[in-house]
Amino acid sequence: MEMVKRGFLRACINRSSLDHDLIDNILTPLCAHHEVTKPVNDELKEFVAEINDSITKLSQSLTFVKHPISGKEYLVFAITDATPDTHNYPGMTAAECQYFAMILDKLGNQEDGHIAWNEAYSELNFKAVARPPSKLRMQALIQQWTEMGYLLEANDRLYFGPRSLVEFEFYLRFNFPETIKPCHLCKQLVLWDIKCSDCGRKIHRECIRKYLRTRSNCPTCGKKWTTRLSQ
Amino acid sequence: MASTSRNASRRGNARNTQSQSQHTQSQILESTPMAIDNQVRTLINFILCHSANKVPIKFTDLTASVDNRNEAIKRLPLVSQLLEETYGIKLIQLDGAPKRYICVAEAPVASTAELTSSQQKHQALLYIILTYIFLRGSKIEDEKLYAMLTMMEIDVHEEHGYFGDDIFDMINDTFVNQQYLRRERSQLSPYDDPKTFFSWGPRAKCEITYPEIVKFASKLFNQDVSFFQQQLMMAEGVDNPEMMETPNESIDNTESYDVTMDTDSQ
Repeated sequence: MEMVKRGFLRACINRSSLDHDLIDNILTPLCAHHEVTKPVNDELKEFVAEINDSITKLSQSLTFVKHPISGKEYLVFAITDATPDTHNYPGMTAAECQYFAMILDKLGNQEDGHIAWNEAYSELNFKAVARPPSKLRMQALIQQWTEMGYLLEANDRLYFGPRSLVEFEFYLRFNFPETIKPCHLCKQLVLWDIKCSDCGRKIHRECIRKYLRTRSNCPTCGKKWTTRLSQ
Repeated sequence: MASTSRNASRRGNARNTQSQSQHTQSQILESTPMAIDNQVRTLINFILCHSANKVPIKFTDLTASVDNRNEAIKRLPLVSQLLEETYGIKLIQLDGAPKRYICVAEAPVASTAELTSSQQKHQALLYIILTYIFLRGSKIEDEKLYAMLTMMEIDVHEEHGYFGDDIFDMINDTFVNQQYLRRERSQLSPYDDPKTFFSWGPRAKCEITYPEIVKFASKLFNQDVSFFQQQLMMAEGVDNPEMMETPNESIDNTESYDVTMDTDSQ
């Protein structure tokens, strides 16, 4: 089973962000090859938690995260408390690393945390760069970062992906205090989900749903909660 | 593992390279076993990040990621151990200078789902090339390789629907830099023009076994694995010439160009 864990970890590092279909497509042949029973549901969560335990001391994590926009759960490999400038993969030029940080900045500065496709290619101020990447290269990079889970595409718009939510949690929390705030109830970052119609403060749908079972006001401003919860 | 006060004070003096250089390398290696510190984490993350594209990691780049060369040398045994125990990755030093390392997984991928879409394309093309080299006696002239690919409707100078538009660079740059292919120029005789030959590189030899390639070949050509028995024996013979005790029919029957099987001198 240890070989399966290591093989699965290598696959997760390589794919970076996996939905449940991909996890299944990887685990089924891997477990068959090593002749062990494939872990499912709770066993899968435990299997992943055990791998996570072995890498926490190395500043890495392998955790499940639900993305509020797609509604899907992803398994994400992340470097603990990374910042965009440490995202420096070999084969990426200095300009391309800068571009990555710029895209995150654009997303972070948006009140609603998403941008239109064309905004990813316009109004880019490359500092001290002789040759900014071509549009074709930028498109290829955006696609690569989406595949890796740093970005997520939905409804023709670009959002922070599941890996960014985990890996850059610290960075986002402290660099965009105007637009990115923690949920008043659980203290984790909330980017989309739902807003109070009075104070405009964002809150997790699940958090407010539980809260409203026993109370009827907004936990932030105290006024009566009037926003519909269902999507 | 708690760090000893000796290690703690040494780390505190990390910037004081003068005191570091006074220690010989053997003293460094014999010192108290390393604990996992930030430099160890940096080295591991550096290696994992740089191993993704499979290009060998230069030792100088590795040392640049931490305080200095000695700090890197001290931690390398622990880093290798952690890579193997936690990730099943072996850090292998390549022959020659400057010092370079490649990362090889303890087992090949169990399915292509473990690979990204571009890696899947690379692997498909690579396996076709490695299979052809294997079947033609471990070494093949570049023009003959391109001709074989053309027969499979893969023109190395044209865009291909699946493999993309940079197949020539993929073979000559990517696969060679990744150490999957070895490319050398040689002359069959002083009267011939020098030609370029491809053979399996050190990474291919570490990661892929001949039986695995035979399985791939049997699917590619729709033949039973036993069909390739002679090539398998020959390839294993090229790698282990001392194991070839008697000349056998396989050498006479297969085409081989500059592979010499000098069994009489054994």
